[in-house]
Amino acid sequence: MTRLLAIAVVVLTACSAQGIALETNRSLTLLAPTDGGTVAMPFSVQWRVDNAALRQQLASGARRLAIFFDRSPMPPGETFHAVADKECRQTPGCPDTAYLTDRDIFVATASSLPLSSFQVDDLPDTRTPHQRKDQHQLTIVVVDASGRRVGEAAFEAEFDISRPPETL
Amino acid sequence: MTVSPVLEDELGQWRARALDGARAAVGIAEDAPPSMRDALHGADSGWYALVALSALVVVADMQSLALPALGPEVTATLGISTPELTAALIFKSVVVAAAGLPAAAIAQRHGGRGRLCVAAALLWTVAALTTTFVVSLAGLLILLAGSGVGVGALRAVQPSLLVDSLPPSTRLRALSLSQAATSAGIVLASLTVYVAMSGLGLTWRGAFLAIGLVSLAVTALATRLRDPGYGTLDVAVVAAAARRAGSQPVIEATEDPATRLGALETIRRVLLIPMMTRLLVADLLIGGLLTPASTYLAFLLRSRWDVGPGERALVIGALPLLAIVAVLALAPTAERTFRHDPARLMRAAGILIGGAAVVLIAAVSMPWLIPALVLIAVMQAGVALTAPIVTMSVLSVVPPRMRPVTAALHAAVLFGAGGLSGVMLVGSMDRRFGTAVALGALALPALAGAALLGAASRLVDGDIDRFLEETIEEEELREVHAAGRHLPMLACRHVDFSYGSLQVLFDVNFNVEQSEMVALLGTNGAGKSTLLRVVSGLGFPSRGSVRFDGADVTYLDAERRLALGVSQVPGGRAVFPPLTVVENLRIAGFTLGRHRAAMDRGIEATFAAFPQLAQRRNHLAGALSGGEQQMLGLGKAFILEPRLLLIDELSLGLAPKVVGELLDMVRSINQRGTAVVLVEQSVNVALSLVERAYFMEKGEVRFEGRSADLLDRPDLLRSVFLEGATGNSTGPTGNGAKAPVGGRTRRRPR
Repeated sequence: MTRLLAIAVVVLTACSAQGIALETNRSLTLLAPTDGGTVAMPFSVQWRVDNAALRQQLASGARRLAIFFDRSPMPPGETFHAVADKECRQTPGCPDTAYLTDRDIFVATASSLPLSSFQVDDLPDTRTPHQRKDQHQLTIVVVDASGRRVGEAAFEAEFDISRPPETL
Repeated sequence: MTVSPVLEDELGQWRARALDGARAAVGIAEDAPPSMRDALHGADSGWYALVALSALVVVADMQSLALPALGPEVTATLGISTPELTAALIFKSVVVAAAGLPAAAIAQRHGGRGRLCVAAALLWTVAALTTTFVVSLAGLLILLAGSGVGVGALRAVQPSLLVDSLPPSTRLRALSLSQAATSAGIVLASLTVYVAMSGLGLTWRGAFLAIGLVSLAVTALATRLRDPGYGTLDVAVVAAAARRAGSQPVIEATEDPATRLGALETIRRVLLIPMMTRLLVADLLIGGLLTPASTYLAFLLRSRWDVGPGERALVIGALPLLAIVAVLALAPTAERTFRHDPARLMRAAGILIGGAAVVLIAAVSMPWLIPALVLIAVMQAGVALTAPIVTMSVLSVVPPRMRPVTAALHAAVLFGAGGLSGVMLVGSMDRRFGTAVALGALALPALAGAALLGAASRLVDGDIDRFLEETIEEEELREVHAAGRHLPMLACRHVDFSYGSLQVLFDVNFNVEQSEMVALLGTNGAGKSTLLRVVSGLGFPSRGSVRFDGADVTYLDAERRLALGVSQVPGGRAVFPPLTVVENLRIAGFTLGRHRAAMDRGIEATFAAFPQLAQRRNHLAGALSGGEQQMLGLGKAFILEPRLLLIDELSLGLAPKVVGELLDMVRSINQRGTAVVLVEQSVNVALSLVERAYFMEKGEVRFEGRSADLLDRPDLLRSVFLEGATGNSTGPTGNGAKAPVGGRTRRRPR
């Protein structure tokens, strides 16, 4: 009985009914790259903000968009510290823009709402002799001015980068 | 002591008659199987069990089936990486594999399989519903573990409950339906995810809520499941066939907890079934292919054929449709084939698995998507067709009460050991050689597994017959017991024993009566000591039974037999040399547990019976003379107050005077009511003590009868005397070497 109670307590602390989303968040639409599409380097990440409140918050700088390539974002409520390594976390001012860019994490401040874009100049080539496609994953989440993730909403796309064969 | 041969003759006649009907009782007959409708006519509970148990299988693993499809959404929401999610899913597979055996052990011990299935369903339903609210990897792991326990328990218990709920003539069709339900679970999981996310606009959390609600509805449907009892529709019929004409059915005997096999003992017993050993190795090899083939299918679709995320979920959900159709369409044929020739069906399973492995190689080599998908669907169908065949064969060679543990063992090796090693192997090969090559390479061990299935098919008939013979014998002895007739205290019947592939006992029958003293004589390497090991539980026969007070103890652990009153004094010096005499006795008395007073009383009683030991109580055992060491060995057995004392080579290397003293002690122990089996090469020593003797040669009993009659058999005794004359110098009539030099690698024809 005690064990069951202990398990129940652990489960309850690992669960929450607050802030969770059962319905798909459609406040942002990824336009490029499309899910399952192919782009050439350099390419632009394009999106459209469909939610008026988010649009307003992005325009005022109260909200920003964090763009992650080939990695999971931080959990809701966490800052970029959650995706930084131990050394960075112990360094004041880290993670900064350079650190994040180096890890293919970008923070976008939309310039022409509702339609915005963000140019990506380079991403690592993931091809191997046995995997001909250069496959990538893109995830966008909303963060506040301090870089803390707001809500559970995440907008994703899987895409390929078309590269010349000689770069293998 | 003339009861045993008479009993043997009677039982032999019963067995011959009963075996004729027994195969039909377990669904093996010449005629065509009845239709499901006819077979289940009037048996509503059969239909209900079939539907409810199949429905549970459909929803059992929806959580794990849905998670890979929802992977990107889950990782993005929780902020966990894809490898972490993959590791979590592998963790669940480990839990599923590990949970089966404990659940099966509970089912074997307490029954209540219907309630167990419902409890398992509740567990994974609650886990699926709670997954809706999970916010961390730790929480996800706990919920996957909870769900895994439920799924593992269902996999272990469901097949045996299904089999026990339906007549034998319908079981393969029922297992086929259950297999089709497993494939349907993949379809339903994909469909639920698709409808929830695309149709209803829900997040992955909403999808899990939908999965949980579907699972809850199915669990509610299954709440009326009940356990009909073990073997009520097959073994009970076999038992009825074994009864003598006109005799009244014997009320089902309740199992004595003292002799009821535990889960580990059951596993050991299952591993002694020739077909099962081959089948479990085949499981390991085939499981190494099956699990990665499904786990890595999504990666393969993406990397080789560039299938997008939405299409992948659709394809993975649609592929099992062919398997569902194939399994349901071919189930009547499979049932008919099993009914006529189980071995042939098992061979077909081997061919199907081999074919599936070849088709998988063709699929991963295929540059075009559509033909590749067709081949993968064919491969899945081939695998799905074999599953009910193998399950049916596995459940047909073990007693009903052992079916849950056997099914759990089968699943643990197939999905646990085999599946996980396959996943790890593909994981390590994937980056270097690509997913296609890695999966293709795993087809090779699967082909070996298919060949092993074929080899196992040659054993299935013999193993089914052995199980039936045991069932018949059980019933016969129950009837004898119920009729108030005499049964020997110890009865070894038709015992075969092998050290690996070297058979050393051949069809040995050996009985000992209450308070009797029997000599077991024979040449060096005749199998005397091996027979003692079989009786005491230090060795387990490949065929035959050992009964103590009528209860089957063939596969009972040695320490549990000790508790029943079977104690052995091993050959040589049965002492711990660095310990004192009293310490040796204390160790021997450890089974008395924490009752220190009882142990002290036992030690004092031993010293009273062996005054010479009392004088040397604080001496190291290694410092005692050879005779005193043997005396201590006897004392160690004596302290446990055995009802049957097995003494191996008491006189070995001792002076005649010392042997005389020891024999006096043995006689004294026997006079207190303890039955004694005296293994000796010294004929003079043994026959001076006993009235009845057995003589063994080359693993067979060559003589059983009065000691005086044995003395009139110079043809037998000559070998002992000749061996004694030419043997080493350890004793007057030979040595006690334990090597089974008389063993042969092939079974002797009866």
